[in-house]
Amino acid sequence: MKLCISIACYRWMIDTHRRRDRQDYTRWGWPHPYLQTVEPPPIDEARLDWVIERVVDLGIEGFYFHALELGDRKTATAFKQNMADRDLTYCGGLSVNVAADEDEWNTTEFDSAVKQLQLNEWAGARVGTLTHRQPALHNHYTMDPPLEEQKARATRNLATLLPACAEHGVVMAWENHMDYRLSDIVEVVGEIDSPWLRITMDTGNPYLFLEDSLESAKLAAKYIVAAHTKDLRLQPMDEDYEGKRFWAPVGQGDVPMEAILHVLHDGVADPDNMFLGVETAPPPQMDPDIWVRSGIRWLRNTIPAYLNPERV
Amino acid sequence: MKLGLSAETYRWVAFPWMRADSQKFRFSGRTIPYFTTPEPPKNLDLPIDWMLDRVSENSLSSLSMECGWLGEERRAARFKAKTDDLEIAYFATVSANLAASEEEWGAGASGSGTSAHATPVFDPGVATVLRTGWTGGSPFEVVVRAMELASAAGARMLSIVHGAPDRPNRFTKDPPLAQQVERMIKNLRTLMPVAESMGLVLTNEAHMDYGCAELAEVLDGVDSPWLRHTFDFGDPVFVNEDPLEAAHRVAKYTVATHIKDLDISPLTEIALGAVFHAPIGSGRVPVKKILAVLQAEAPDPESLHHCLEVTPRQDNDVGLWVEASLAWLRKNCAEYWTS
Repeated sequence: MKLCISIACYRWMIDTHRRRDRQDYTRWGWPHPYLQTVEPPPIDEARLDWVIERVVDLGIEGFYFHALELGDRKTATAFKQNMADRDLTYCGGLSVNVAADEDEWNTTEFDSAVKQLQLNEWAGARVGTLTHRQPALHNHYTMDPPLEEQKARATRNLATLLPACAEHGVVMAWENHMDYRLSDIVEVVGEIDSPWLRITMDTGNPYLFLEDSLESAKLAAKYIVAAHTKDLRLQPMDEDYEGKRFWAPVGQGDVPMEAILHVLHDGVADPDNMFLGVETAPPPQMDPDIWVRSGIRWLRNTIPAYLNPERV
Repeated sequence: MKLGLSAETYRWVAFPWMRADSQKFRFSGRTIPYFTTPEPPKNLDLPIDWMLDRVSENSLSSLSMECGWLGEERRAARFKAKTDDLEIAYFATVSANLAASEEEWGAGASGSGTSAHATPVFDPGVATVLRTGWTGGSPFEVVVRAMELASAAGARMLSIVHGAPDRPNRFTKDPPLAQQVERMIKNLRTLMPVAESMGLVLTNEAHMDYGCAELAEVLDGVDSPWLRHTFDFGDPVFVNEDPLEAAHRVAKYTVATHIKDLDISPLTEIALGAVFHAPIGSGRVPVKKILAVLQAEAPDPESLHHCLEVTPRQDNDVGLWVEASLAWLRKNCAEYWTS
């Protein structure tokens, strides 16, 4: 497995619209971060160089973000070179409304997806994690259209992208991304049954859909080419009687992480080349770098035999 | 099937230790409610008659309520006389640590209790938001005392709920889950002879602690006609169990329910999702599908009481929520109601 991180780990430090040092951060009503161990990049500087520095410092193999951020061929190619110079791997990504109706798909989504696949290729990605772009509009729980229709649309839409995937040499890996059950995704991916459409598993997100993470991993393993290790602490009872979920450093929550990693190692088609990305994004007032390092340390200690020996 | 009321619906309005109109409540840091109904009880006594008024006011058939509130047999007998007059069926509840170790459980070899503690009593003065008011006695002795009170009050059954902050649940590791299930089976077995001698059915219930998957294991393991199940429409969600799948798991044991709805927001700004209570029919719980499962698979669907447990945050108007929930149930699930 190739040990990586998701850029989302540092979202509260480096996402333009989320940065904790934004003038209007206080508007959210969240506490300020204090005593942080790393400084964010200057607001007017691109964040990717900052992330590359972090990844080198962490001694891991690469990181994941969506290629659209690169914008054009020149930037994407320069990024590819930058990564190659440091022997790093880009875990690509793209986002489309998988449940778009035919009209929307043909008007905007298809072209957008093809452009993103192209950017992924230029940036050096062989796998692009695919996230659903309209999770609030269409998800496992929404009724318009019903879930079965959403899955039928996804099947139809994603199938149209397979030639572009082949042309650009990029495998789309659809992630359960706070929108669908992994079992929903397995159904569509199994139906399309193409080596150009696989799965990125998020280990924490099944819990938002009343789905057992370990069982989901078993179900999806044969399609999985990347995983995001997200851990959560599940608090079933609280004083509001609503239950709560909390972020937890990888290995310290209630996700059966070690068991899932064994299932993935034994069940995926190519475990040596599977991207294993730490995705831990604690609330904004916390220090993400401490959490990321803890997660990496936990993985290195828990599954050393599964990781590239040169990066353990 | 019939519709009833769980006293928990009005917890923020009427439970003396939780009332949102109390001075103490202001220190909880929660929002104070405004413009809400119904009027809270006039005093800080246990609101037993007040709850019966809510049952009658909403034309319901039953009340689910902690039997410790009844205190002693004479009061329980008066309660029975009143519920008989009003034709209200009573479903008793009690809270006990079902996953206690053998020593903590305190049944003793004879099954008659071993504790040297004082007789268990329900003291509202020690109850808190998540803590039962029972003091004294071992969990076994608390349940037996609750059974005596429930019997005196003419209860149809006694639901033993487990979930509490000082007790294990399916996410705690000490003891491991399998051992927790073993303990529940062993502990509940000690109660079966008592239940038989009193002619009182006990039930287990998911209570933000275990899934119906675990509770079905317990029911299978105890394997007694004196242990059945109270199904909660929403609580499986809190342990990541699909409520419809949960219903299938325990339907054949289900003799009562707490009916509620929950809204699930999978995507939130800090990427954790959120679960909120919702008026029945407005949330994500497949209420109609679950009713169909229970109609088809419960042992006696005709006399199955669904006690409304609509528990919004304290700053919502629970009166409106109850009204809307009942209206939805009566309109959209009319085929199930026999009264």
